[in-house]
Amino acid sequence: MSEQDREELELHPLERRVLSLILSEGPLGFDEVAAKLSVNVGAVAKAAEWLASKGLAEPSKASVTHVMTLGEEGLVYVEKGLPERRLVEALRSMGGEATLSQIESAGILGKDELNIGIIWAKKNGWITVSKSGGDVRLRIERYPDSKSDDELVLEILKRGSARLEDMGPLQPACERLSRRPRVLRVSEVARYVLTPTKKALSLPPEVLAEKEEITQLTPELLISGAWREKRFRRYDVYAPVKPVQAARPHPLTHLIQLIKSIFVELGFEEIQGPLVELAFWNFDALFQPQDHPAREMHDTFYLSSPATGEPPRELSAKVGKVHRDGGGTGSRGWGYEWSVEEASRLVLRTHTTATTIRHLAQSSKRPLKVFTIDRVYRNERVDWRRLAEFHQVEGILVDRNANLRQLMGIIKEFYARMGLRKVRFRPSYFPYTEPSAEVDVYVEKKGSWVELGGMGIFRPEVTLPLGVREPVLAWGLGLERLALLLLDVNDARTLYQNDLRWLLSFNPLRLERVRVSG
Amino acid sequence: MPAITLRVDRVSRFVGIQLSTNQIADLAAALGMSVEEVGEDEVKVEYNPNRPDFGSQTSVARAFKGLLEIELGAGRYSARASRIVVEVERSVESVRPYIACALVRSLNLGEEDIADLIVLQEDLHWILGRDRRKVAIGLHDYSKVRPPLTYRAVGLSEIRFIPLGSYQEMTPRQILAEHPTGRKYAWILQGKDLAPIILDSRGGVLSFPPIINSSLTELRPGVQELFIDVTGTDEKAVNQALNILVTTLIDLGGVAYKTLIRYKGRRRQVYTPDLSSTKWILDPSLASSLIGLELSTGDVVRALRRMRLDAKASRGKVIVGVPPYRVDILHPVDLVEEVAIGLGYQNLEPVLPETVGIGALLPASKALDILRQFMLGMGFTEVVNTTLSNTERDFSWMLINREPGIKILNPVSIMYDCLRELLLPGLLSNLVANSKNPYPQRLFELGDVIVRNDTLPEKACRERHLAFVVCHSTASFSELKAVLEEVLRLFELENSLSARDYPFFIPGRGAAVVREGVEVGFIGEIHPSVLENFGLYMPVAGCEINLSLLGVA
Repeated sequence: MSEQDREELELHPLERRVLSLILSEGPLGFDEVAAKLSVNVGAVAKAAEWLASKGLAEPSKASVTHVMTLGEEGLVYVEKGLPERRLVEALRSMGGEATLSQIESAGILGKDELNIGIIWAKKNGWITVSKSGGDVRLRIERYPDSKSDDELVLEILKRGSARLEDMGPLQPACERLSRRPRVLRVSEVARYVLTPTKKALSLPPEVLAEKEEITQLTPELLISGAWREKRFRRYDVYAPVKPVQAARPHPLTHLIQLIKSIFVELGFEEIQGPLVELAFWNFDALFQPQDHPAREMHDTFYLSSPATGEPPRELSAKVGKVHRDGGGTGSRGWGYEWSVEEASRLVLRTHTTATTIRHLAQSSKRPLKVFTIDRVYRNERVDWRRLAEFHQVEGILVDRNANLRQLMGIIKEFYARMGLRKVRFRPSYFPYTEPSAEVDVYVEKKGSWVELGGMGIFRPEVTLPLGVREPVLAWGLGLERLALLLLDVNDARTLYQNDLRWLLSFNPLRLERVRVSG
Repeated sequence: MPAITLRVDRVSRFVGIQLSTNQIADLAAALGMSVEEVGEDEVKVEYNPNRPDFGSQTSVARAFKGLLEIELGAGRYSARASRIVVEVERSVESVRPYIACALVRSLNLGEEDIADLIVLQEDLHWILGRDRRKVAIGLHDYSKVRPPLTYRAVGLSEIRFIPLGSYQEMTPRQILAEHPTGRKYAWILQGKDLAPIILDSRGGVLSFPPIINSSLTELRPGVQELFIDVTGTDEKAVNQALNILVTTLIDLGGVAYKTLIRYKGRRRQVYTPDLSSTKWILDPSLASSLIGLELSTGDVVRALRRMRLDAKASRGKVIVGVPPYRVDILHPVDLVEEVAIGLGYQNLEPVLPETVGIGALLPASKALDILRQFMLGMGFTEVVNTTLSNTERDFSWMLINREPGIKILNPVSIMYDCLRELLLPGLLSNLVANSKNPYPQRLFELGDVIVRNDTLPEKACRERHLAFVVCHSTASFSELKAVLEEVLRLFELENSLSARDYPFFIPGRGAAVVREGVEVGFIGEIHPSVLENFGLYMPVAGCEINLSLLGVA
């Protein structure tokens, strides 16, 4: 026998024990093997299967036995008695005979039970049935003093299952009962016998020799080197194991990190600004008139405590003039009396542009390329499309030669790196940019364009009061909408529900694949 | 955003050529409208509020004709003289000081035209009028009107007339209290105790702006002479609304007539409508540099004329005439955008800027990333909750007996009335939401809380916190303490626990994390009363650390 054959013939201890047994005692039933080796029949079956696959033993179906248990109807009969028994008892109590309608009105047996009872009582010769007038008359012919065979079978089965083959003289009663609907449940159980093959008979004895096998490799075995003298037990590599789940980052954080890395790669520096913001920075500095609908209570969260803050004094005066009459920016202004009180109100910022404009007011670095990904708020009723709190991806680029086509270029590049390669730009309107544009991305699996964000060049009314003379390219893109697309989620609320089933199903590699292949 | 439905047959008729729904959708998008729905014979679009003139199909068709080069430049709009005088009494000054009127004749308005006009009127009420507060429009059948007219403010019970939608005479007071339209707009006149009224020479009431018109001058299909009154608190907006309506009616074949508005006792009189165009001078180099294309004066002129603006070259500059219905041109940059749209955004090739910048993350972002890796490494899954929060949950349920530092004035949903000051309540909510999922559960959050800070101009500042919880049948202080100690080693902050009781921890099973005498966090087993308040029936141990106080992030 070659070394390789020997490898193949590596036997599991159970296989070895089973095979040794049938080699010494001849073919045996699985149940007999199980009894002799004190293991369960299932384990024997498994060993038999392995041995068969190695050509060492042959399982064959030797016989079939029938196992009986009580059916639903049988369970009722065990409780109440067979219908035929109840019928003769009823007849007996009525004086030995009665008409069908009398028995019916006595109400001892239901209509179906009565019919069944009549049939079997008649077959058993317990009663006779005759027509009398318009009715049927039943009379006891022979009252069964002792239990019938049928009743004995039910008695036996009341204690558990039994094999038909073990029932001896009661077998005909079993067969009779099994023909009655739902009284007995009979299942066939095949009995298998395992026979050693010729190959098994010629096996070298060392294969069958009891050897110590290693289940778990231990430090002691390694240190002593004793593992060399032993065999490793082979495992069932298909056996199920207890699942393990890796803790994960939240998909939104993962996405935010990804987007941050893209803007860093594109040479932008990250900034951050306040969430509770002065109306001044959120609206006024962005040339949003004080009666603009976006500033109304049903769009913007205002604070009741603290209710107001302090807008920068010098800049407020300048911004107020711009709103009034253009304040020397070349604009006509909105033509109304600007109120510093309105600008002092505190809001939850409605866009991250409040942060870029703050940064623009304080930074004299040129050229300037900054971005922020952060939370914003809208006073809206939350539904599957709208959230009251969400994130924006915001950025500005300030440079002497900055222009609209470059702005489109940055946005196109960003989405391409997110795997969304088909974009289009449409004219749009924001009070603080001109020209303005909206970006749509084409979503292949939806077959449609999805609106993902706005952009534009800050108006001189916005930049000149801050002393900024260069064009400022600005954009604000929705994060959640992008997240829904990339994560295959339909309901925006899912992102903040933190359901562990959803969180733990997040597959960051799949997201990478989407990003790379588009 | 305001919306309008563009009917294929109607728009095609105004444009003069048959258009398909797809062509209409493309043209609308090219003009900056957002296409909501392309139907079988109509296209639903939303338009931006800077273009209230897009509120009627006639005016949208006017813009389409420019892009299709069927008509270029601004149309000719003028108003003839008339003898109609509107006397404005001083009594309106404190209520609704401005009025502008016009008469349009030679009309033959069908049902569709009238329906269009009503849509336009409603949109103007909203966009320019801020829900009629700033501007309100009345449309009247002129055959019922006997000029001269008077615009005055009267006592609320001083006058009676039959308002539209009613069959009986009512006083302004009754209208404000009982008529559905009156009740809807009563807020505009609140506290004024005066009703602005437009009367004709026989004493007939035309309207009670900004609330409702009189039934006297109600419009019916076939009306040929239309009288328009626009009243409001902002004279510029009042005139803009009138101009948009009158130019639309001229496009429908009408002939406009001016009215003389005489402000009594103010020595002031004006003729309305004023349909003259506004002159601007645009330097083509501004357009070239902002758009990023070398544009000649000729290119600029052509693009502007496609946008239905008058434009001609003069000594290297472009002289632009802006028609009276365009209310969105405030600065030459607005004309630059007109040039860009005239060229077509789809024709502007995106390019990457060459502007150099050194990319960098905020130090805080990097620190948070490291902490996140750390928590993940210890088998905690990350959650993200909103900063918008709820006083009941964050304070009452947590047994914290104080008011939130920041309160929201006007939340639409009662779910939100404050901003979070701790992350822990959010994590407990997450555990409740996950109570059907397998245990043990280990969650963490790295996020902002917002606290009041009166030294800052915005009176609040954000602080970064780290919080984590374990939840299972034997969750305990010691289990979480082991995790906390590992985190503290990261901050080089060993041996910083100090036994302390917190309302939300079981007494004797809580501790503060202290650095140089300052509490920077806490850890403990959540009190069963708190768990009960949240509806959580599984033990929880929780920990929260203020990273900003630690100077970590």
